[in-house]
Amino acid sequence: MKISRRTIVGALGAASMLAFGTSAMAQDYPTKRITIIVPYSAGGATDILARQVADGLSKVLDETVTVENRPGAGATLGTTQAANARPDGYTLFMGQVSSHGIAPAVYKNLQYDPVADFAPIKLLMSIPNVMVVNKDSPFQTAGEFLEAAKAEGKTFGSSGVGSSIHLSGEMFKSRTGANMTHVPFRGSGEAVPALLAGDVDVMFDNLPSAMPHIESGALRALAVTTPERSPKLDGVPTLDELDIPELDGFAARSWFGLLAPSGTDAAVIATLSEALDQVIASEAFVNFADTRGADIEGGSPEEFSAFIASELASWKTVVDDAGVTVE
Amino acid sequence: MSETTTQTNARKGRRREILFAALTLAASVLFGLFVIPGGVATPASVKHLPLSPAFLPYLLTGAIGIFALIHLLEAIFAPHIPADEEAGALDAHPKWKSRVLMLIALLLVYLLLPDQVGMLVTSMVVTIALLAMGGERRPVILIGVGISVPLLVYLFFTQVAQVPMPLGFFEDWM
Amino acid sequence: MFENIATGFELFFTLGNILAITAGVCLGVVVGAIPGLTATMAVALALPFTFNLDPVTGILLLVGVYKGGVFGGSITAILIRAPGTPAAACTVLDGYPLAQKGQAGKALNMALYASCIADFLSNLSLIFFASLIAGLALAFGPPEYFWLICFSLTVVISISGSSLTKGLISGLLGLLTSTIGLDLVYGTQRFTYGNFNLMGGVSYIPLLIGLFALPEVIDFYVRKVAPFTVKAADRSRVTLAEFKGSLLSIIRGSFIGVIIGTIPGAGATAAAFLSYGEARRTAKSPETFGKGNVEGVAASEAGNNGVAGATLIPLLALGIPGDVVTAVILGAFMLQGLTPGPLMFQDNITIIYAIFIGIMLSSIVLLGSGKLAIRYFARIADIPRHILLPIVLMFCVFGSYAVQSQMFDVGVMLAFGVLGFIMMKINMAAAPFLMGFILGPLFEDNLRRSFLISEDILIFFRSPICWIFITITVFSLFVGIRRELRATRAKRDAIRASGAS
Repeated sequence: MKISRRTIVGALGAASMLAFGTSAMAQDYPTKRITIIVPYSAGGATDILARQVADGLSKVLDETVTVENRPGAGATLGTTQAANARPDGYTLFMGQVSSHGIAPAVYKNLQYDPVADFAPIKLLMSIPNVMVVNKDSPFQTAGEFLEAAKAEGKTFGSSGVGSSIHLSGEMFKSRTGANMTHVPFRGSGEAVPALLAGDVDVMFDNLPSAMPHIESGALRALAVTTPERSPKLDGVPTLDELDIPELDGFAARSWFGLLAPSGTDAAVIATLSEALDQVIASEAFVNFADTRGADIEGGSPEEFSAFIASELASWKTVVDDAGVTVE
Repeated sequence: MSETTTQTNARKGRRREILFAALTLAASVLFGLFVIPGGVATPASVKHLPLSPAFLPYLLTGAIGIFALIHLLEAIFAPHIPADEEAGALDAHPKWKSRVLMLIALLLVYLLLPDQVGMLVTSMVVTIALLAMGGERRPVILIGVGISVPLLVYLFFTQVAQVPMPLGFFEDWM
Repeated sequence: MFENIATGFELFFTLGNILAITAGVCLGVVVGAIPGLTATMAVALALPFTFNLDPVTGILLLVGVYKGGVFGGSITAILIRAPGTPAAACTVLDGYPLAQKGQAGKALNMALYASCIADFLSNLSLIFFASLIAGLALAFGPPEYFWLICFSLTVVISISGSSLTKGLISGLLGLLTSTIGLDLVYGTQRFTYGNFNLMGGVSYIPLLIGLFALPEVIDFYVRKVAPFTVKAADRSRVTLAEFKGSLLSIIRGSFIGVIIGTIPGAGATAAAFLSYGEARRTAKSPETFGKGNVEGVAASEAGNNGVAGATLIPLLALGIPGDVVTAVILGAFMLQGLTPGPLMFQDNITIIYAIFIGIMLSSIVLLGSGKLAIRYFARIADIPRHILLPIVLMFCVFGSYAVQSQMFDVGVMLAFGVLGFIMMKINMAAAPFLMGFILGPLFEDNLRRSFLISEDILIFFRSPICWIFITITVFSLFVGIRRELRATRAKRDAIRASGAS
């Protein structure tokens, strides 16, 4: 089904290229509405970012850019649809750590290939995960927590099986051998209150959802999971720098990037890449990233391809070690 | 309503309740014996019973079976209480069997055709067919309502609410 | 404090703000009224417009859309039995029978009055008790939640219709349907049989539309009905006596809504059903509920609109979004560089007051735009049914598709439509099914989460809140079952008496 459709679309694309010539199409691009597919429901972190990007792109390209939400099955449903979309540059995809990092490792019967079915355009933004505990928790450092967790068993909350929050916890658990029980919730919005109330002991939350509570003092940040410290949390060490041998080189973060279905004209990709450079440099976007504690990324399409390959490999290791798979 | 029809209705109603309860009971047994073991993947090690993915399905199926049994006993031994709608449910359309088939066919059209010919054309076809089935014979209404309303609703969904609808083969023309 | 309020007033009273809230409410009512397009979707659609507005205007626009959307759902629930938003499902129970009797105007107006009063009370609670009751949001851990859901499930007894056992079976089937999809704890598959579309579970809105709206459509075509019946123009209004009679239910429903709204994740649908169940339990003639009792409409609408203001309590006081809509509003705050939570009350108190003033105004705007909407939407009831129903079916299909842009969901809608039709024919109430389906995941998740957290059954009795909900659950079960059994016995005695004579 998938293959036949792609073949037809590809054939049609080739036919139209013959008729109008590649360069003419790419030069005119864009001539109509562009759609960004978001594999999550409206209002989530990915959706809000996509709307920000759509707003910026429509100003730079002077053409309407809209967001289409196609949620379901842990982001894999919308991703499959984007993979099968017509590669004409008018359907783009907001990829993230789940669709192009974790899901391929977790889901066995995935219906898209994160590498072969997509043409990466640009890595836009990344956000660190941050190890947070309740303000009343006795632990002041990640080391103290680790010792306690090895001795008596702790619980960690997450936004669901296979989320980056869950797998950061699993990564911590499998590396250190700590005795931690995973308590899944449906989304960060449900998990954070449980942490605030002390029903779970720790969480490796995405920084944007934890940030307000860290600022208000309700949560205490023990460490960030990125290789470098986050500019938003200067005083918080990385797990890597803690002098705990098991945690050397610990890196887990969430990221977002724009992709097109594979087969999209290289000139179109280049146009979009340039436009996105302007978008992420704009004051509005810098502000947006800043309020959420996110780092603006950027770089070329090739760099993004290499990044995706490395992410796929490293999450595969975590998932295999932790033994989390969905049949 | 005469005494005899009331009694016949009561007997029919009671028979229907017994049939319903017996079928539900049988279904819950089959579900518990075959569907749950086949449909729920249970991980090898589960610390507590309620943590098992199959726990709630079994519990619910068991409860359905028990209530079906209660309903069965009630229907057999207690006097039948006629439900309010029972009288109204009887005035089926004289040709209801062929109409059911037609309706099923039209619903299947709604399910299968949009991917081929697009949502707009499908909704126009089905709407006109249903209007005719409902007894509308005036061509102005058939064509006018059947074309203009789907078009307006379609435009509202795609343009105002920004919900993309299947285009079918029209996709290749745009 | 007073100078803050004064500055808040200054900040609020601009033409832009008043326009934003009016436009928001109107947009919300229209989008909310269309099955498949929910308040959440409307808020997300409006979000990009707030990028270029100043904070107060932007937030008020979104809040207006939200509140309009919650009311808008009741319009189609009453007129065509297709709840525009999930929270309006309970309004169908009495609203649609009223519309069938030719009293759609009465039902719609009562829904509007109840919504506005509940909205107003909810806003007042937000403004005066936010800091007081915000703590509730954190007092509800998994075990407390579990008992709250148990209590909510006892409402099934009240909405079972003519047969208690059938109603219970219906509710259990709903619970069972909710287990379809990926398991929360282990991520294993349940009843999906490898189907990708089922992994996220059965979609909520297609199920809702199918279960309620489609049986009416099917029924029309298999029944013998004269095709060209046009009802006389509907002039029914809410009488003062009816309003007074429902006022207690409205106020009680509002407070149920406020409490449920304060607890993150419980949701407007549960609040509406709880409020309805309470109204029926305390009513003098409970048997009229479900057959077109205007108090039933009032109670359910008060319940779901009472939630709308209260969900902002944990958001503003603690920075916790209680549902998807408030998560979007949180996003809008953050885009403006504002962080809801205790710090905002210190740093940006004037903005908060300006928003409060705008929110109070939204109840009044809702009354006005609701009146206007009713005037036009009520004409739907005058359309001959053989023309209306094909259009209803079209909306069902479009709406189901719109949720995830999936033809699969149209299939889900049709499947549950057929199920709903069968249930209608065997006199099995559909409302308990929906109730079970909505509360099922909350029930199971919190049961299992409690076990994950403590591995000890004592966790279910850990706090006074647990004990309170255990007590009222037992009480509600006892009273509810006794009442139903008595009613059944009375009917049987009547039959025996007539049979003997």
